[in-house]
Amino acid sequence: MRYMFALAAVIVPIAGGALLGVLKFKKQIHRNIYVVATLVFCAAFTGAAALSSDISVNLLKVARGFEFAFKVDDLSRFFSLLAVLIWLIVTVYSFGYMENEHAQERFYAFFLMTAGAVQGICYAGNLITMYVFYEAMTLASFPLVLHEQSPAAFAACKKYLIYSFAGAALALIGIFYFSFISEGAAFTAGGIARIAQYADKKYMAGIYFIMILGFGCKAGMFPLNAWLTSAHPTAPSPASAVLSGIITKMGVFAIIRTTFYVVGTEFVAGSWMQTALLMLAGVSVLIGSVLAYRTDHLKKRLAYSTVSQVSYILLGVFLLNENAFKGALLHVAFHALMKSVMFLSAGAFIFKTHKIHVSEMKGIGKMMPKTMLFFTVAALCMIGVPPLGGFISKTYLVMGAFNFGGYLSYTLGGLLILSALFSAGYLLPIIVGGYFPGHDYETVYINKEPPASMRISIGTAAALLSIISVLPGALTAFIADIIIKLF
Amino acid sequence: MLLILLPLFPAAGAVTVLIAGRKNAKVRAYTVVAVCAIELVLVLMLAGHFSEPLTARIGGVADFGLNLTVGSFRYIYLVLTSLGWLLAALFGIEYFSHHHNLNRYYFFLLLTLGATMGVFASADLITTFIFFEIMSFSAYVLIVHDEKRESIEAANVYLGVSVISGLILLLGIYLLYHALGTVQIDSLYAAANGYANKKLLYAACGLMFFGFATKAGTFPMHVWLPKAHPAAPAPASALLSGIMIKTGFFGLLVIACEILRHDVLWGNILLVFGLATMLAGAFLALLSVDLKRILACSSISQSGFITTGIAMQCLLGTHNALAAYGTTLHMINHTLIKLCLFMLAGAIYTETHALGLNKIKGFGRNKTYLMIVFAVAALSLMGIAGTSGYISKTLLHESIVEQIAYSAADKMLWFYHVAEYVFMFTGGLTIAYMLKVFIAVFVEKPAAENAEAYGKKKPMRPLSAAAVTVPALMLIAFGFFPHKLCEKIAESALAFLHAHAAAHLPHYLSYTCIQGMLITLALGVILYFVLVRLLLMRKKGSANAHYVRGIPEWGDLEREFYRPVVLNVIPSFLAVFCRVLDRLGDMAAALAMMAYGFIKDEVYLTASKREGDEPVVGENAVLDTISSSLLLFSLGLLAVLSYIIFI
Repeated sequence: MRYMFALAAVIVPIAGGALLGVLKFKKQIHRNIYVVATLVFCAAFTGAAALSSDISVNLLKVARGFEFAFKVDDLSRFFSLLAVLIWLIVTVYSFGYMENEHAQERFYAFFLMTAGAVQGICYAGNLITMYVFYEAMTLASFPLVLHEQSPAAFAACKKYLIYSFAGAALALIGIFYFSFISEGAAFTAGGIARIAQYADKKYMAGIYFIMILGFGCKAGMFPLNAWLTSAHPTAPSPASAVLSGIITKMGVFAIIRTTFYVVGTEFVAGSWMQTALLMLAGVSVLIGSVLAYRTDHLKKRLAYSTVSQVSYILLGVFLLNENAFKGALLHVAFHALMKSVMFLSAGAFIFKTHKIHVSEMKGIGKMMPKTMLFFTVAALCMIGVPPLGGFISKTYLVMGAFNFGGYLSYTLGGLLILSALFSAGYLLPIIVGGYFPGHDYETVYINKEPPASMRISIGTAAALLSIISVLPGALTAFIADIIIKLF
Repeated sequence: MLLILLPLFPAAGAVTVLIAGRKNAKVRAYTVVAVCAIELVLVLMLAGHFSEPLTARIGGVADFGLNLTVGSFRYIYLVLTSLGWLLAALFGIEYFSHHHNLNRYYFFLLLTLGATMGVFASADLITTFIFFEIMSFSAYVLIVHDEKRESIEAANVYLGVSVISGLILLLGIYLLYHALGTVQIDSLYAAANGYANKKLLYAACGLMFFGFATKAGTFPMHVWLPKAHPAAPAPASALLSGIMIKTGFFGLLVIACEILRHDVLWGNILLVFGLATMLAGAFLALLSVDLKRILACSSISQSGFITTGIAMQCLLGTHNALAAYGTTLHMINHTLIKLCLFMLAGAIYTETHALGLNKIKGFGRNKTYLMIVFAVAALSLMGIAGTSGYISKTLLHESIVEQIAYSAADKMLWFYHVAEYVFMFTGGLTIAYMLKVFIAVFVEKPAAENAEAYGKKKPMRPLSAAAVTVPALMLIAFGFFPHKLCEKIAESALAFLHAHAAAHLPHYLSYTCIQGMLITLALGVILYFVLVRLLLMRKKGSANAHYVRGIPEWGDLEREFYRPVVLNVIPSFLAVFCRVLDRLGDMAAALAMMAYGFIKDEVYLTASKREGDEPVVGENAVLDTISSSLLLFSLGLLAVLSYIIFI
């Protein structure tokens, strides 16, 4: 019955979110306590699932090759713990941010349900189960994008849905195919034996490639990247934080599951698919970082940056070697934290000053020094200033790229550095202009720090980020456990 | 344990200072001095490891751990770094008595100290890089300190250059690690020696060279230096010029003495950069009219001398003792000279609130002590016999002469002759620009409006005077006891530079050495009269004679060339490409929707406009609709086609 923990971690937030539509709270604070309590329960169950040993269980057999299965292994522990952590931080933040927003009940209901769906993806034991939760996540998260109900939000939301469904449809081809030939496609570290032995590799290669493109949509990989930069900035900041921090990572997670736990690395390594996917990820890295540099809208800039940073991770996954994979997983954790911090502090800037463009934010560091400090920590981490985390993950990624061999490897290594350069180009001006606007801007600097709940949650995330990045021992040990089973 | 404290203790001190600063400004200033003094004591306690290296490791930090070691050349610079910071902190007590934001300044000052110590103590290149970057970023706050428009501008240039060079350096280190499988500094030579793919090795070293040489102010990456060093407050400029530049040389020495030890090609490349740098820096110094800017440009020029010394170490192979002695001593001298001169500039600035030569002209006429200290440092910089600068320059000169003698049959012989001429000529320029400063500040009469203010006898304040006296005294001692002090110190650095002890050292007072100095001196005086007095002054002879800037407005390499190229041209070029790709999905989606008859939906079609704005369905709607996307797409297609056809 150990699987009950994992199941509960999925069901509690979904049920809690659904109940929120029925329950009527007299005071906002009661609702807030309810939301936090639900997530704390979810976190407790996630923790319990993480502490228990590995589980693989079939819950329900719908048809042959169509089973509802759960699996708890190191990879799902890693992603589920990260998700629930970010969700808790963002939730505490959102109480301050959403205080005066409309339709809060709807927001929190779907916010919780999304959390449940994400847990479901992490604990899914086969492709079909993962697909169910994957779609559930899309459906549960679109009201978050829609929240403002402005025409722009409608447009972004429509785009989000179209892309997500297109991506899921592409993935679905592969899901059916692989479920069919392996009778259920239950995740197995190192790849499913029946798929490895399957004769018709030519079709399989094409289908695998299309499938990765489909999952790549959630991760913002080129060519299905355009929704991300519309949807993430349009959502309210707490939602942007989880969209960029966690939901994009679910795309990565699905790709890792498909590549390492279904088809196996031997099938992909050295093939045209690997080269093509590396190029696509490389192009996304470039697109994201260059366009972030050319965008003035702060949240949109951060969204572009997500495109490039998540593609770092994908690059690490597609390189299929230990160093790169280590870098990728490290970057998953670092990026989840730093992008959350960035979106949350961007939200705080907007919340207090109602300015949305970087060019208007000169001197913001004088008004909100603490929030800006947190932003700075995250930004330096993203640029890769040692000893912060981005430096560590980037080191492993570039090493991994070089290990790949050939000219592509040097190109990719150079690309990662170029992208870091651009990230310095789009992040440092925010900080520099924020702290040092020059004497021309010497207006009255009133203290505009956001409310305590926002400040504390951003601060917690930033502190956590600096601790795990300066002393990543525990994290790397955890990741080493995952890697040992895969290579 | 002691070794681990070197980088960590100042960081802890920085936090303490931040807390102390909330209570009392005086307590804070003395806390800073105390932290620096303790740091110096810590270094001195390691004196036993001067010749036998000691290593330590801080595991787990940034996953790779920090590997530290001490001894030889490293030890010299650990002493000089902590000493420099102590002097700067002492000087700062009086200099900063009316400044704002000192909590921030002192916090980052101490952080920079820890990081600089870390660079010099680092045992592997990843550790070097970690500390190097921390140093670069914390020094930004020192430069931007007064938050004036010019300072912010200069600091931003510094930051941009630091980030770019830092990342390129990092790429070089990655490549090196990929090639050799180690970045442990003392095992690099063994690994590189047996490595077959020399191309990759040169690529890695080239990238690392870019990173380190930028910090060292090498031409043409020097552009940040004449802006950033003068913008910082005087004690910080002293540290930037005197010590932080040397972290770049630490890296250059690792490349030249470990990875590419005795590599002739590398030596020739370095020599080109060295000569170009010394010449460019000296000219820039001569043409400038701002005291701190002249000193900063002089730092560039002196960097060129040091780079030349390193080049000679590569070229001379196993006979490179003279070059190794000269490089080490010139680095030490330059550190002391610039500590002294920048702090003196600060002392002048506190009284006059100006740094332009025309403003501060005649300030030092009746200030004997200021003049003596300044003269000691200036003479040493010029390399006049009897000073320590003379010793190091003679050694460098002798190493070029030696190279000429060794390569009599080499087809590069002409190049080494050129090197010698450039070396002498730059020596002359050095004398000319220092004469310019000295005569302007200490000999010429002040402008009428300042005459009264400057006429007052006002001695330097005690702590500041003490801070500038220490390096001056050291310079004198080094100059008077070349065999007992200079050579002993240089000898201890040889282990790091992998040079043999010199079989014979030149007699510093021999005819040939003195002759070289005299030629340079004569050249300098002539250059001074021809260039400065004739060409760079207006209204000569009259009461309001003044110096003019020799560099035209458009001569700013950074503003006119690097900045537009790096910030606009390259990104725009890439952005066109990326924008097309970014819209690709949208275009496909739009086409698909057209096929399904969704064309009426204007909202979707304008969705790519800036989010948060109302969708515009009117005059500008065209710009961000499907038609513009199609247009971009066709342009991209056109580009691709033309690429395929023509290339």
